[in-house]
Amino acid sequence: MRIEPLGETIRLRPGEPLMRGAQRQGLSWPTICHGQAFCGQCWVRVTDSAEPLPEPDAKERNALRAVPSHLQGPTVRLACQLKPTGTITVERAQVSRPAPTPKPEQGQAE
Amino acid sequence: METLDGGARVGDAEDLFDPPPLKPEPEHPPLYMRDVLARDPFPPPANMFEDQQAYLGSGPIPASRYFSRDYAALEKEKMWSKVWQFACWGHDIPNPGDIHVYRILDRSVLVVRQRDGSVKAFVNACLHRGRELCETHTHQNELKCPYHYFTWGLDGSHKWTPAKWDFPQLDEKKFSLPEIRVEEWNGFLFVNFDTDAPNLASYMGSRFLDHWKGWDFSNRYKAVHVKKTINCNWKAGMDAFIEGFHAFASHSQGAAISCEDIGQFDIYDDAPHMSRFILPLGMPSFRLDPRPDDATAFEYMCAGFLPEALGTDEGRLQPGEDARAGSARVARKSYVKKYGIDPATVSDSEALDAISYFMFPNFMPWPTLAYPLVYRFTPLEDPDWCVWETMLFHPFTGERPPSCAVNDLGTDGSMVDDATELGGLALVLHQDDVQLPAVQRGMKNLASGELILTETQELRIRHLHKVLEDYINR
Ligand code: FES
Ligand SMILES: [Fe+2]
Repeated sequence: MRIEPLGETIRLRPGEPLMRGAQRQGLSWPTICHGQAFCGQCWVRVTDSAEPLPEPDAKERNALRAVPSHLQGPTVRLACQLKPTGTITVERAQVSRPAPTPKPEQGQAE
Repeated sequence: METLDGGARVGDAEDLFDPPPLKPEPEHPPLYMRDVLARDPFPPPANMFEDQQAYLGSGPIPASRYFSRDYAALEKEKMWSKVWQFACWGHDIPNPGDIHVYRILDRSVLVVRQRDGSVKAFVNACLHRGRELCETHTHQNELKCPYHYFTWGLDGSHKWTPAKWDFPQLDEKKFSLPEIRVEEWNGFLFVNFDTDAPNLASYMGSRFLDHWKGWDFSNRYKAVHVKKTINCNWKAGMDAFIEGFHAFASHSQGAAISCEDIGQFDIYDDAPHMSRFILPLGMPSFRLDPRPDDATAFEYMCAGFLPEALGTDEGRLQPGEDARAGSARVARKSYVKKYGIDPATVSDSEALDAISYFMFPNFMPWPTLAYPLVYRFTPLEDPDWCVWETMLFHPFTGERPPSCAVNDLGTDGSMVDDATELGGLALVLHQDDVQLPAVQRGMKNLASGELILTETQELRIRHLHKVLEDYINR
C-alpha cells in the first residue's frame, strides 16, 4: 500500500485493515475510536487499486456518515475497515511517521 | 484470543496487537472559553463573560435515581407538581380554539387559545366521569366531552349538561373546568400545577431574563419538531445534552471543528433553576492527536456553512485570520443568505458556538443561530422510558410561517433515516439515540451503584440533581 502525500509504501498482511497495518509499522493514523468503525476519523481516499475494492459492509457504511460531507465520495473509505486484496494507493494528509521510529516487526516496509 | 475452555483459538496472534495509546490528558488545555470570547474580533454579548461557576464538589450520584420507581414517584409528587414546565410553543396554537394537549406522567393539561388571544389552561378531564376532553393537538369551538357531550366554552365556563333533569345535584354556575396556571415567556408557554408557586418570571430569575434580552424569538418560527420515545430515564437523556464531554467520543466527526474540552459551564447561586454551557466551534479539539491545523478546521466549517465557497477565495483563510474568525465570517454570510438577517447583529460566538441554556426541569433553549434548538425530555411513568423532543426555531422575515408538524418517530424511527429535516444534526442525534438505551441498561449494572462525574464538564448534571433533590427534600 502506498500512502500519499507521506510517500511511504508498506506491506499489509492478508486480511489486515489499512490502518492497523500502518500502525503496526509505526505510522501515526488519525483516529479517535481506534478501529471500532465509529468515529470516521480514519477515512482515506483511494486513488488507485490493482484489484476491485471489497464493498463497504453495513458497519463501515454507517461510520462513513461521520466523514465530513464535503469529503465523502465513492473512493472514500475507512482505513480501519478496508482490507484491500491487491496493491493500492491511498491519500490522507494527516498520516505521518512520528520521529522515534519503533523497531520494525515482520511485515516490513517494502 | 482464547476460547473459555482454552481450546481452539478464535482469533490469531495479530489480535493481540495493541493500538497506540490515546494521548494522555493530565491538564486542562492551554486555553479557556473566556480567552476565546475575549479575543473574538466581533465580541459576544456581555452576559457570556459571566462565567460564575458555583462549585458543586466531585461527589458521586446514586445511579438508582435513574431507574428506581420509588425515586420516580418522589419526582412526580415533590417536583413535577411544583415547577413551571414548558408546555408548548405559543405559535403552535395561534388561533382561538387551537388546543395543545400537554402530558406529564399521568397528568394532562389543555392549553387553549382564547377568543381574545390570551391563553388559558385546564385540567384535561370531563367533570362528569373524567374522560379526557381532548387526546391530541386539535382545534375546537368549545370543549365537548366525546363520551356524553358535557360541554364547556373555550374559557372553561360550563355550557351544556346532557340529561340535565337527571343531575339534580349539579350547580352549573360552579361547574367550570378547573384552571391550571399558564404563563408565557419569549413565545413559549409554561404551566404550573402549584397554585402557591411564585410567578414564572421569578421562577426563571432575573439573570436568565437579562441574558435573554437580546435573544428575542418573536422573529422565529418552529421549523422542525422531531419526537422520539426512547428507552432511557428522562435525566439520562438530559445529561447527554447538558454536557459536551461525550462529544469527542460519541460525535467524533465534530472533533476537528469543535473544542468542547475548553467549554464554559455556568451555574449561578442567584438563578437556581438555570444552567448554561458555551462550547466553542470553529477550532479543533485539543484532544485530537494530531490536532488539525487552522486551514483544515476552517475548511470543515466552510463546508458546513457555505459549501459553495470551497475552492474560491472566500473559502480560504484570509491573511491574519484563524480558523475561528474565518468560520465566523462564512457563518455570518450564510445567515444573511438563508435568513436575511443583519450580520452586524451576530457576534462571532453567536454565529458559531453551541450555547445551551437549561431552565429546570424540561426546557433547554439554545439562543443563537448556529444551533437554534429547543430540547425537551419528558418522563414516562416507567422510569426507563422518556419522550425526547428536538425543535429548531429559524428566523423569518415577512409573514410568520406556520409551525411545522411534529414528526413522531415512535420508539423505532431513526434520526438519520426518518428525520432528515434535522440536516447535519440528524447524525449527532442518531449517535445519542444509540448511546442512551445502553447507558440506561448499564447504570443498573454498576457494582458501586454510583455514577462519577467530572467537576466542571459535567457540572450541569450535578446542578440538575441538586435542584431536583432540593425539591424532593422540601
Ligand atoms: S478508526 Fe474510528 S472509524 Fe475508523
Ligand atoms: Fe450527544
